[in-house]
Amino acid sequence: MTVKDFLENKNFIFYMLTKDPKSAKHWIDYLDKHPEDKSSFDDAMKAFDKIKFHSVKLGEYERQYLHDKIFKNVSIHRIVKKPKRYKKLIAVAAVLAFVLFGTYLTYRSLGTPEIFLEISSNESDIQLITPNKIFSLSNNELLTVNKDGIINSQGETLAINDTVTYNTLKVPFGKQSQLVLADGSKMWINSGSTVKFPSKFDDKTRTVFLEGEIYMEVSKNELKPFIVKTTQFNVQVYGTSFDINAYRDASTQRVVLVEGSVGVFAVNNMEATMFPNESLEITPSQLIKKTVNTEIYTSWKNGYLIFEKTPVETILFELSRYYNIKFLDTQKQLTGKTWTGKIYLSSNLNDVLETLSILSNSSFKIKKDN
Amino acid sequence: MKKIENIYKKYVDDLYSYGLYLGFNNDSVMDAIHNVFQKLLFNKHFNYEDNTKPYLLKSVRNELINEYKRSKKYIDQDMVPEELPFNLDVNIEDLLFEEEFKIHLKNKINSVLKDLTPRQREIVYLRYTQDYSYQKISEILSITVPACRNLMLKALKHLRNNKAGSFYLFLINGTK
Repeated sequence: MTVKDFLENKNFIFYMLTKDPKSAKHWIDYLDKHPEDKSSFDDAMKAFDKIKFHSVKLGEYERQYLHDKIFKNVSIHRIVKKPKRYKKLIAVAAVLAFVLFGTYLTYRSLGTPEIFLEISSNESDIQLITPNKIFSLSNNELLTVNKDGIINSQGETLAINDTVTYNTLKVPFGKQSQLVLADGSKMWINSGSTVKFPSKFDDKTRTVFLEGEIYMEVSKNELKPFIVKTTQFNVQVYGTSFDINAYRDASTQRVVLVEGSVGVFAVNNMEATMFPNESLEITPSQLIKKTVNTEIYTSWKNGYLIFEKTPVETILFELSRYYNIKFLDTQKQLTGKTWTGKIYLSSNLNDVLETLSILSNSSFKIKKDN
Repeated sequence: MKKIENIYKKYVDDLYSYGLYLGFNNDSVMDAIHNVFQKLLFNKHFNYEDNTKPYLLKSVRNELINEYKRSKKYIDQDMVPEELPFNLDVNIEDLLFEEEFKIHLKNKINSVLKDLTPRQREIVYLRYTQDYSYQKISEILSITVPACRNLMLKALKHLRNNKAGSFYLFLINGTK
């Protein structure tokens, strides 16, 4: 056989393209029988090596554009993770400011607006509802799902499950909880939220259901997407950190992305891909994307709230969730005002009310039951 | 970060080509590459030493497939990768033969490629241009090694069955 005979032979072409062992064996056998063809076979191989597949290069402009999109702003992302010392400093500064303002306030004349609030009487426990049993849990309980079942922070096994059955965790107002899921993903659950999670994920996806607010740190698994489903939208990720706010009573629902990327799929076929430091507001008619300081949206899991020109109603609404309280008659005095500052979610409500007084230049009084 | 920038410079063209071969448009492929590198920037545990390129090819591929699945929500999710095209264009410019033979040869190669399924063509591409083992290719395609081997054996079998006549003819010719 000549060089050309080899080159145009389909089996030779296949062999050259794939170097498949089975195909190779074929040609070894052939050359054993026909040693005289060895040199033309070798020449054909050399010639074939010059054959390439057309490849398309990115244009110079696009290449640079993509480069900048990926690599600029990276330094800004890094700032999101503040070292702990810095946080302490803020805490000290806040306390100082508090003391100063406190003194200032006591010297001020009377006549600041008074806002009354009511402490809800129906205090309830965190509930874990498994297919077989209902458990009452204490505040800030950390649950861990592993292959043995659901374990509480004392190391007691609450439920044993080896099938894909869903459990429900109800965190009432005034409480928070944490959950480590079967894949190692961490979930912080905010007050007044309900999550449904399986004791074991199925083979294709990692799906949980949410009503309320959670912060997630999803363990990386490229093959099994992690999906959070709410009534209005789904968030799909492979390994990332983000906050989802999907309270039923809130007018807008929101996803805030800290790290990685997520896909959001909302009603009416609306969808968006998010990148770090973006917030996406989900309304029934549109998705609104903004660049944000993510700490404002995720600080609750670290025990404080940050406000930046936040409407007073929003702040009181959030606080009513954390402390299971109700502010009465706030419209008159506070509508249209915004506050900026930081509130530590102390277990003592009075501390918080004092901070609020400073922020708002008004006084808060707890209404006693008649 | 400097390291990742170098990785970007080194591989972006190959990743881009790969995405286009998979039948996606310019914008989708650029978005996919963007997402993959963003993830890389935040992945502190990423091992740069080995397997960088196969890892990137796999990531871009997954990113694109997920994008595709999103656009076709109602299709059975497992079926999707099968439908993706993989269209290769042969370049014979560097071959030292007369033009007529080169065109003839190009047609031959194209007809071999045309007889393959898109996934088989994808394996051919990864083997021929990247020189990857079946092990690496199966990782990129998220299939098992035997499944990957089987795809190639099927292709070979198909080729031989189809061309049984000429193949044995050539064997007989060869024995003369």
